[in-house]
Amino acid sequence: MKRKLTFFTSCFLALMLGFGGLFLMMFSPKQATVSEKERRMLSAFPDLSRQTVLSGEFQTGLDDFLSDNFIGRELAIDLTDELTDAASVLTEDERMALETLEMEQALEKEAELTASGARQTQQEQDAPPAQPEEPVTDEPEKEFGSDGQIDEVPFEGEPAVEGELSDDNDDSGQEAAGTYIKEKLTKTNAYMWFEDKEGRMEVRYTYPRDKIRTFAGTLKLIRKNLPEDGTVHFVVSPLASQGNELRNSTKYVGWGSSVETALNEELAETEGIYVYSAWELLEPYVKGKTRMFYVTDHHWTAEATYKVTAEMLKNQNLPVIPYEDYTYKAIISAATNKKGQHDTFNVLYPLYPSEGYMIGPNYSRKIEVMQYKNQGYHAFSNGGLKTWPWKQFKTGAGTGRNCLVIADSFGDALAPWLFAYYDEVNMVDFRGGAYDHMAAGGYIKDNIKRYKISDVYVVCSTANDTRKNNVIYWMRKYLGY
Amino acid sequence: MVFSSLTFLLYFLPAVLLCYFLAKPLRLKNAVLLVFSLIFYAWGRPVWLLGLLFSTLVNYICAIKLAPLKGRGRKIWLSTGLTVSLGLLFVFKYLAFFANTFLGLAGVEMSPLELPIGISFYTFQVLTYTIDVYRGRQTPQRNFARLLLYVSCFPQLIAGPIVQYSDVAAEIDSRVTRPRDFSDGFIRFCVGLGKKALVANLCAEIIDKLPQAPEGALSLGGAWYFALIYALQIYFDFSGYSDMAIGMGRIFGFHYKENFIYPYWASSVRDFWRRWHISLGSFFREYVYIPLGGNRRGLKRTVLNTLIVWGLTGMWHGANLTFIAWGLYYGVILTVGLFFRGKFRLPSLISKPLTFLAVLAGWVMFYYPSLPQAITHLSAMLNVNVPLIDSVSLTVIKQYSFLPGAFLLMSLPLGQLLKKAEEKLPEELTQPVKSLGAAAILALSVVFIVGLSSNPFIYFQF
Repeated sequence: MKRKLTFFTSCFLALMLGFGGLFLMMFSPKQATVSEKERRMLSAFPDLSRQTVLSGEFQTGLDDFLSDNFIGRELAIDLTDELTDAASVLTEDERMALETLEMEQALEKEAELTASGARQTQQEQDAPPAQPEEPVTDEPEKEFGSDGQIDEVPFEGEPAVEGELSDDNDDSGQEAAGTYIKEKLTKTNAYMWFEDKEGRMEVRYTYPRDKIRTFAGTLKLIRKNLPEDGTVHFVVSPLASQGNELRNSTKYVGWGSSVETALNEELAETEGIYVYSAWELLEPYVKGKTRMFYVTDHHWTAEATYKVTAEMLKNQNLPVIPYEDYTYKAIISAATNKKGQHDTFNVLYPLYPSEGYMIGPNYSRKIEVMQYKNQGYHAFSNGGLKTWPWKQFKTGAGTGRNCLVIADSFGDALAPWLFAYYDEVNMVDFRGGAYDHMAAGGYIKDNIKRYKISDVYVVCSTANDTRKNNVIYWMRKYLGY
Repeated sequence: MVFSSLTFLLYFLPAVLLCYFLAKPLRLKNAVLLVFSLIFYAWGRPVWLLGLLFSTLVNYICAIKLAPLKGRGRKIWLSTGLTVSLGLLFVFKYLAFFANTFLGLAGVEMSPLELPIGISFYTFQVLTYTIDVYRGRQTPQRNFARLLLYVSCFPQLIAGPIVQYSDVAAEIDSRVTRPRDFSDGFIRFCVGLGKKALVANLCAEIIDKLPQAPEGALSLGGAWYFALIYALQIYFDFSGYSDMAIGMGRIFGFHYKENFIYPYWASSVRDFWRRWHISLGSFFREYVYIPLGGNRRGLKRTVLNTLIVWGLTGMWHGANLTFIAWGLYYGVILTVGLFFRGKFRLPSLISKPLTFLAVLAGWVMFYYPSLPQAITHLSAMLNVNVPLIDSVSLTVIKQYSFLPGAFLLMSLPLGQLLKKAEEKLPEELTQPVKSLGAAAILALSVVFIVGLSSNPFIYFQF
C-alpha cells in the first residue's frame, strides 16, 4: 500500500512540479506584450491594491494574466485548433463560408460591446455631475457631403446607433438574388449581376445606395488625411467562385456591377479618388488561357491583380512595367483540391531587395515578403502570417513615396506590384477584429501621417464589399473616426 | 475561482494539497482546509464572504439553541434560521424579479443585485444542518469552525453537489486519506476536468456558432442539433464539475455522494431525475416534498406537491420565467406519469430515446432567457414553417462531424463496461495505466483551457 502511495504521490507531485516550473517561467522577462497570432495586447499583471482586490478586479486580472502569459500558449492554441479541425469534413468552400461566419460573429460580439460601451458613455454624458471627458469614438459620424463639406450625416451601419449589426441584404424594395433587373442603377440601389445569352441581367447582389454613400464618405476621410497630391484607389474583386462560374458557364456570357458608377457619382466633386471596376477589367480575360481566379482557393490570381494594378498606375501617370518584363518567375507553391483540381501560385514580381516587417511604435520584427513554402495564396505578402495589424515592406525602390494598402486578403497578391513605385508599402486588414490600434500605435489616420503615406489602395472582395459591415463600419472605426 | 481556471490548477490546488498533507493532526488539516476554502470563496469578491459567514453563524446559533428545546421554542429557532438563510437568498436572487413582475405595473423597476457565487448551494447546505438538528437526526455542532468548514469546504462550495450535513458530519470529526482515496480522487478529478475542458468547452464553442432564436435562421435539423449540443454541454459541464468536487473531496478524505449517474440513459423522466443533479433532487424530496405530505395525502395533494416542488426546482436555478417553466414542464410530465404508473411499460428501446427527446426539449427552455425565444426554437424543432436544414448549421455539423456522436456515447454507461473489463485485470496493471491516463487528460485539459477561448461554467451562475 505504501508503495502505491509513493507511486501515485510521485506522479501527482511530478505533475505539480511541472506546472510549478511553467509558473516560474511565466515571470521570465518578455520582450513583447502582444499576441502576434491573435493580433491583440495580452493581459498585463493586474494592479494590486486594496480596492482592486475588494472589487475582484485583481483576481479576474490575474486569471487573464495567467492564461495570456502561459508558456507555450501559442503552441496550445495551434494544438487545440489542430485537434478540433481533425474532425472537420468541410470542403474548401464550406471552410471559407465558416470563416466568414466566424468573422461576422466576432463582429457582432464586438459590436455589442461597442454598443454597450457607447450607451454607457452616453449615460455618463447625460448625467449632470459628469466631468468633461474625451469624446468617445462611437458617436454618430460627421461625414463629407457631396459638396466636400462636412455634413451631419448619421453613420450608416453604426451599431452603437442602430442597436444592431447585420450583414443581411434584405432592405425593403431590393431585388432578391436570382431575379432579373432592367436598370443597372436605380435611385436606391446598385447591383452586381451576371448577364445571360439573352442579355438579361440576373441579380447576384443588391447594394443600397445609402451604404455606398457612407462608404464614399470613408474614402473621402482617407483622402482628407493624405498630402495634396495624394490619391486613393478603390477596387472590389469578384470571388473565385464567381470568376470560375463565369469561366465555366454555358448560360452566362458576362457580368457587371454598378457599384463603381454609384460610387463615382458620390465622389464626383472630390479629386484624387479613383474607383476601378474589376468586373470590367477582368471580364475579357476570365474565359482566356491565363487564369484570373484560382480553383483551389477563393482568391484572384497574381495575373489578375497585375491587370488591376496596371490600371491604377496609369491613373497616376506612372510608367507601367510590361507584364512580360517581369523576369523573376517561380512556382512558390501548388495546391490540389479533393476534386483533383490544381493551382500553382507563381511569383511574377520584381523582387527588389525588399524586406518585410511587422511594426508598431516600439516593436519591429522582420518577416518574409513571400513565404517560399507550401502556403498557397497566403504566400503573397506573407498573408498567412495573421500576426500583426501593421505590415510594412521596405522595397528599396528609391522613389521617395510611401503607400498603404487597406485590404482584406485580396490585397496580398496586389501589393507586391506596387513595390517598384514606393519606398514603403504598408498593409493593414480592415476586417472586424483584425486591427488593434494600440498594437499598431494609433488609428490608421494617425499612422498615415507617421509613415508619410501619400497614396492609399483600398482592396476588398465581394465578401467584404459595401453591403458589409467590415467595410461600412470597421474600416471607418479603424481609420479613427 | 473555478476548478478549470489556471489560477486554481497551477497555484491554489498544489498549495492546498501541500499544506494539507504537511499538516499532521486532523484539527490542523481542518484549519488548512477552512482557510483555503475561505480564500477560494473570497476570490471572486471578498465582500461575499460576509453573507456566507452570517448565514452559517445564524444557523450555528439557531441549531444550538433549538436542540435542547421542545415545542414552540424549537420551531421559533428553526424558523429564524430558515428565514435568515432563505431571506438572504431571496434578496439577492429573487427580489428584483418579484418586484419587477408584481409591482412593475405600478412603476416599480429594480435592477437585479449581483448574485454572490454559490449562494443557492451553501444556503441549502446550511439548511440541511439546521433542519436535521431540529428533526433530532443530528446533534448540533458546537465548534463553529467545523460547521463553517462543512458549509464552505471548497470542493463543493460554489457548484455542489449539495452535501447534506449528515453525509459528512462524521468525516469532519474523523477521517483519513488512504492511498486508494488519493489515487481514486486524483483520477476522478482529472476525468472531471477532462469532461469540462475537452468536451463541455468545445460544445460551448459549437453552440456559439449555431443559429439561435430569434435572430438566427432556425431550421428543423439545426434546432435539434442545437438542443443536442446544449444537452451535451450542460451534462459534461456540470457532471465534470461534480466529478472534480467528488474527486477532491476524496483526496481530502470526504466521501460525497454521486451527483450524476448517466442521466441520458434514463428510461423515464422520473428515472432521469434520479440520475441528474441527484443532490438537488434529494434535497427537495427530503426537505420539501415529504414535509408537504409527499404522496400520502391523496392524488390531488400529490399532484399539488409535485407541482410545488418542480416549480421551486425551476426557481432554484434562477429568477426567470423560463426556469420556472422548465421546472413546471417536468412537474407536469411527472404528474401525468402518476396516472399511468404501473399500468403499462414501454420497452427501453422506445422509452430511453423518448425520455432523451423530452429532456432535449427541456434544455431548450432552460437555455433561452425568454419564453418567446424558447417557444420559437421549440416550434422549429416541430418543423413549423422552417426549412429542413440551414446552411450555417450544416456547415457546423460538418465541421465537428463525429464529435457530438462521440460525446453522446461518452455520456452513456460505456464506462461501466470498461469497469467490468478492468475488474478482470490485476490492480497492479490497471492502477498505473489509469493514473497515467488521468495525468494525460490533465495535461491535455490545460492545453485546451489555454487554447480555447471559451471556458464558461453554466452552473456557476446558480
